[in-house]
Amino acid sequence: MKRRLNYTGRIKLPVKCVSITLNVEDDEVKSFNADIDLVGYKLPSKAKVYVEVYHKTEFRRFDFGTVKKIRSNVDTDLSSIAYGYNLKFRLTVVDETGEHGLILAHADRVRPKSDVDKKEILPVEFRDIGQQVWKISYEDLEDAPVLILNNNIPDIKNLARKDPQFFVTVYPSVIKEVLMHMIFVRGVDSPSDPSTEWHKDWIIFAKSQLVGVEVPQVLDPDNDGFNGMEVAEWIQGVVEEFSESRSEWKSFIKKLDFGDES
Amino acid sequence: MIALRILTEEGVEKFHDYIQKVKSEPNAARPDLNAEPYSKKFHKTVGIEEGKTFRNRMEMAKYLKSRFELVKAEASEINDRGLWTWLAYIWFDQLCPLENGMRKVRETVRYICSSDFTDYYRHYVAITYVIFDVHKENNSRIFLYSPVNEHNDFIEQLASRQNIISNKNLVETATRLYLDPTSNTPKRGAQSRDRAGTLRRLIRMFDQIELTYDIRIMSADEILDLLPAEFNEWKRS
Repeated sequence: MKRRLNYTGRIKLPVKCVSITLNVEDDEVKSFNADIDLVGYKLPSKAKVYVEVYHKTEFRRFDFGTVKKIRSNVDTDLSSIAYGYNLKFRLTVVDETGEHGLILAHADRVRPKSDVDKKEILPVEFRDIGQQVWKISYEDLEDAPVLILNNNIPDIKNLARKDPQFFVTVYPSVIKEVLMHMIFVRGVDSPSDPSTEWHKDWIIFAKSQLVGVEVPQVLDPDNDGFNGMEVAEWIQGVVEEFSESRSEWKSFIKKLDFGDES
Repeated sequence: MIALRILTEEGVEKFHDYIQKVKSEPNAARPDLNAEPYSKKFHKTVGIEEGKTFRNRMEMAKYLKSRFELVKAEASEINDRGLWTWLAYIWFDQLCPLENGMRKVRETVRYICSSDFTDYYRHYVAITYVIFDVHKENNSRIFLYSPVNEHNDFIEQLASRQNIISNKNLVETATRLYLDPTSNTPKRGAQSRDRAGTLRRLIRMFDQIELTYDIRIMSADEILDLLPAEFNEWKRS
């Protein structure tokens, strides 16, 4: 199991402590504004605050001053960045008083405001994945899931959006795989307040499907109280409720009855 | 010499069909995609030699760099999957050579550039250029020593990790540990899975120390100092 140990007690900041707004001209990102709020995190006042922008091979770091005095007039020019789309941001607080800078706190995978508004828990991408219809790829620093659909399948984008058969057969399996991976492979540190952002999103989603059923108290297989059978049944419940709530079932059955004429 | 073009989605589709076709018909004629609607001109005139051959990826990177510099093309202008895919299209016989009447066709993303980084780094041309552009000649050697149609372990292990490939100091650290400067190729055993202090262990170390230290601003010397004793052999050799 992949584990990341936190020996130094660095603080994982919630993404809400920084709000990013992109300045766009002619569909090109020119710069960004960052509204940073570190009040209440007990960070040393002299610690340095950086906002980092990254995507693919690109990485830029911007100095936003210190915890005590966050700068507002930072030159955040991004006009020469090679990949001006899907930019991700990271807020890092660093203690630079020692020989090497130590990371005291960070908020990762911060998305610009416009992206946050349309936040999706499972981004979809279309790629050549051989003879598989779909697969889940776990990406970025937090191994967040991305649904990959095979772009060799004719009209795949429409199928994924509208086809009842696709909804009935693919999506329940996708949900099951992501939840199984999240819990049995990665482990969720706190079901009520997961420190990993995408875990939080998926727990909220699972709860919204399985209303009235308590989330198992332990979702980390390394924890003594973990009950794999209970968790597997809970996941199955989420998947069943998701399937029950979809209206595509009738269309799917109808299609089987009448073939493509329906 | 042909002017640089960008494959359109229609062109990419045709190229994709061609790649599928040569799996069973290695001698199939390459379709002409150097016209609309399959491709469009790059907005600056960049001459590309269709018959140019490269001994290794470094030569390809230098060639492309010199071509783009002639017209002062910015990274943001070059970053276009249609452009990289067109280059793979015109150099396809080199990237997927016909040998003894057969072609060893690799996965499609080697030739058709993906817009997603999880596959983007697998493109033979795109990642060759991008690594050279970001890390310059000295620290690109550990990646670009191999033939243009070979995807080596350093690209697979390091370029696939955004946090590493975007960090010049980490790449310099790996170069200093594992590159044999006389041959400009990796030291023997550097990619071994069961030897101490090899590439895979280094990646695990990077993952650990970046959680504690601000390695973005640490020099390669400072990072090397942080590495445990198992890496000493590689520092010395």
